[in-house]
Amino acid sequence: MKKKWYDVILQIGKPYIYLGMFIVVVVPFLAKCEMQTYETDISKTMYEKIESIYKYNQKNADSEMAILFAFDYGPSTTPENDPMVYSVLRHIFLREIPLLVWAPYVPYLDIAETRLNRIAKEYKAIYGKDYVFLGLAYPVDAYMISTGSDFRPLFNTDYYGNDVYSIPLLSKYYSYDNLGLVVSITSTSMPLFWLQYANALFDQEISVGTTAVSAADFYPFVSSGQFQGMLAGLKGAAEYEQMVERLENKIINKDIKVYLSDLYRDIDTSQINKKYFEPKFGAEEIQVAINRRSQARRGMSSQFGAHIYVIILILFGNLGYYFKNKESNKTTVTKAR
Amino acid sequence: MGFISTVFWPTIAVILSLTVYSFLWKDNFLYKVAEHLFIGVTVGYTIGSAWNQIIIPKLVEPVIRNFSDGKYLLAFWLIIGGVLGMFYFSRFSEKTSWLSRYPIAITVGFYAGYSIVPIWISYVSKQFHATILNPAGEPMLNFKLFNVFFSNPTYANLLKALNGPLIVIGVIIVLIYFFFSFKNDNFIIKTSRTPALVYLMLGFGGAFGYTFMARISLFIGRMNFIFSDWIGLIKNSL
Repeated sequence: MKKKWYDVILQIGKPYIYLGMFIVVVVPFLAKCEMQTYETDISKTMYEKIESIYKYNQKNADSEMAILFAFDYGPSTTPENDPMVYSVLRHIFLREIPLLVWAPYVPYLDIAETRLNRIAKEYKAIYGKDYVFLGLAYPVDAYMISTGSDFRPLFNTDYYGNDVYSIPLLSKYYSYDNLGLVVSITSTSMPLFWLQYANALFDQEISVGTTAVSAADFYPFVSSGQFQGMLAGLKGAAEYEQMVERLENKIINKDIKVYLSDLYRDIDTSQINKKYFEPKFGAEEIQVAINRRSQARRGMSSQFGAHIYVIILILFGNLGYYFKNKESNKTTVTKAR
Repeated sequence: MGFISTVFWPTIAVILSLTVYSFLWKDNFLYKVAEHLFIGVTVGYTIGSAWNQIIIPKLVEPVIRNFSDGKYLLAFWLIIGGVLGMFYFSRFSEKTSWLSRYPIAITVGFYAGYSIVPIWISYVSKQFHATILNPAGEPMLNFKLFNVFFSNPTYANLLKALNGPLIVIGVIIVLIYFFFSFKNDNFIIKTSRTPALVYLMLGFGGAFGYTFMARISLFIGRMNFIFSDWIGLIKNSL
């Protein structure tokens, strides 16, 4: 018996469907398609919040605000969280806002350290003066609560073993009193802990960058103003990337390749502590740094292909079921007669 | 050494990625090898790092330092915490397993007590407040916004006008749906069931869409690694 078209559709093997997905994801990627994306209000709110800290710091040089940046994600979600981290850290370093960083779990530490120093290097940031990596904040709720008064006794040392009381930046920033914002880039429910312990108890403002899976859970807190904006999945990262690129072009006003090549060329690098990063850029490193500036937007073109592909699959699958059911109902009625 | 770190290990990572994806074709021996390797490496790495990042810097070193500084009380305080933590290991023996109840009781007791107020503020009072007033302090049921829409009928004005009432109505009817999930013939309860289901389905649909986006993002990440980072490394090495 000859197969009907809907039987063919409904019997397509899973491996072929996955193969189709592979093609629609990889082709835009290899073709280096980059998508401009519209900027949503929730991403803009987060961007504007960091801008407002910069403006405050400009006006109040003796009582500047810092940002506490929490690396609340692990290796399994780096494709989604990394572009958020890169663009938000770029924004903070471009605006020269003092930065404190911690990570709540052991597997997150290496990720935090490499990403932080990588971006700090692109803006000649000095460890201890412009930024500090505090290291492991475990159990994190104890650290969140102690930041209400002073987190230094809990840390003892930073990630590199430096005494927290000897780091210049930490003599000024050690509690929520001097923190303009907490940024949690996460793949977990960590923003809910921030909400309970930092926002509810100490009125600390919080912005979140989350994987798309968790975004729906956090929307009510963005609408209520408990979170100061949110980056939702790769789309949110692409939006922020776009906004920071505009800012970077405005501030640096130079081709990024030239900027990075010249960054450490004419300065005495012997004064820079090489423990945190090597103060020079090779050609390959510059290319990687340029690619990272559009990582989320390149991903969005593949996302577009994948979404269209799934919509087509859903439509065809439902049409197939509809016509198959119609046919079988017709056959049943005919047999009954 | 350069070759090992820049080409060999990334190549192993590519092979393991492809091995894991081979599961999409069918379950196979290589996939099982990669799965076991992943779990083993993760556990081993976590234990090693926990020793270096938690036990040594947060317990052993401070105890030694406090003893040498003459701060015996602080040192004993840390030792008490360490000993309580060690009680978790008592579960390995039936005779001593009762000891593990102490650290569990302290942890659960502390968090249950400490979390009541923040949870109430975060999840109840602030959310309740946000259903009445938006973050700008304007009422959510602001019918004047409909006048603005009718005098200037743009899409943005329509959204502004509808947003508040949709949220307020949604919260009320979904709460009614869950509170009165048993058989009830009350007119309001009966008529609110279908709209409440629509709200729930819209919520689940949004969550599903985001979940799909997240999974594709992870796939894109792996493809980025293979086609950008790894192939670039191979090209440069050759």
